[in-house]
Amino acid sequence: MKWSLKELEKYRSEPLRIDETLDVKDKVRERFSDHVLDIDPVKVVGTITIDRDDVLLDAHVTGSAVVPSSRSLQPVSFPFDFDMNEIYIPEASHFDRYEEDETVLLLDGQTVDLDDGVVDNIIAQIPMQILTDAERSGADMPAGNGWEVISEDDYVATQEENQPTDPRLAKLKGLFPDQDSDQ
Amino acid sequence: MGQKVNPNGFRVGVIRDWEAKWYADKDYATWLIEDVKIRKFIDQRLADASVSTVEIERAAGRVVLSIHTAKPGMVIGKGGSEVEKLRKELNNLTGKQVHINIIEIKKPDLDAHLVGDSIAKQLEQRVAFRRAMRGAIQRTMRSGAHGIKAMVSGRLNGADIARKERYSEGTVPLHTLRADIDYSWDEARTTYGMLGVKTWIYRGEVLPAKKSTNTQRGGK
Repeated sequence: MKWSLKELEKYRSEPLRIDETLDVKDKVRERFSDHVLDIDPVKVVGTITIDRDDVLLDAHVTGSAVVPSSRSLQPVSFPFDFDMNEIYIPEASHFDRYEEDETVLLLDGQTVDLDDGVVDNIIAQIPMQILTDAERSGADMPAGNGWEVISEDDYVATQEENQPTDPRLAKLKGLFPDQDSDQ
Repeated sequence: MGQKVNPNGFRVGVIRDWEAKWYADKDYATWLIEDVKIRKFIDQRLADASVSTVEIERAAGRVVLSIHTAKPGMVIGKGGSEVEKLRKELNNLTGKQVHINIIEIKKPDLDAHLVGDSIAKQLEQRVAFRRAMRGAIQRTMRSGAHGIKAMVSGRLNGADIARKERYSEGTVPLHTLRADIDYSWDEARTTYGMLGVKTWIYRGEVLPAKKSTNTQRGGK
């Protein structure tokens, strides 16, 4: 969904209410085919307000996508549910109006594109690690000839167990051979 | 401008360990160059596999590589085909037997390189830089970080004049040596040129473990 700034002018006194279901599948496939395998239509509910020529978007986004598992690349369902609070400004000088912790975006032209914003935010929400149910419940890690996958916890435990002697001090071991048996 | 020390190097030997663990009497230079070649090769070969660090250990003509990654699936490929290929290529590169441990990072959102790399990748895919940074900061704080600072520099949104923008949340006490701060510098190749992404993540304090009574008796 797109609105030109001119169209939004009429919502100065009263906010524009949005209750839309967006089909962003094509956009996601075009830009993020390696991150997202599939995505269902996305529900967006919220308002758009105009304040001193700036566009304030407050929306709640819900939906579900299918993304590859980070361990086995198997498809995993990823439901998302987040708030989107963004401010679109037509001129860079308006940046000074807002606090640093607000998401202020300079408009490229004279239109506000909700689809692009929603897609960008969905991508930013996808965690780096996504596992299937079986993987999460502790399925066996893959291994092969000369390689194995291990969890970070197991790796740390192994490292602590096999603390090697500092090789620079290894020669000291030969100094008192008789006392070795006492240890 | 203040002179800044790399937070990772600053903490090596205090709370951080070395990424190469071997000792050489004679072959130091040869092995060091070999390490650089291995790291460069893995960087290029596994550029999309979210690799954070590569630890190299050597013992008796054998090289053990521990590849820390958030996406083991990308490293091993379907049925382990990719990692088998990688191992053979590394055997040829080093002329030694290479064993690969792929370590799945438990909380990738607390790893500065992975967070920086994900911001860089999003910038390359034309995600607005503020959205990319905001998303990364939120994910990191949700994962239990005590603080994060992220800075992007270059021609942001294709602006004519390059600039820097930074966002932070929580605290990042760079001068506290026991503060476990991970730092990374990554690059995004956009149509307008390169953008630099610097990330600092404060993961909490590392306190010394209580010494056992045996050690104390030994005079330490």
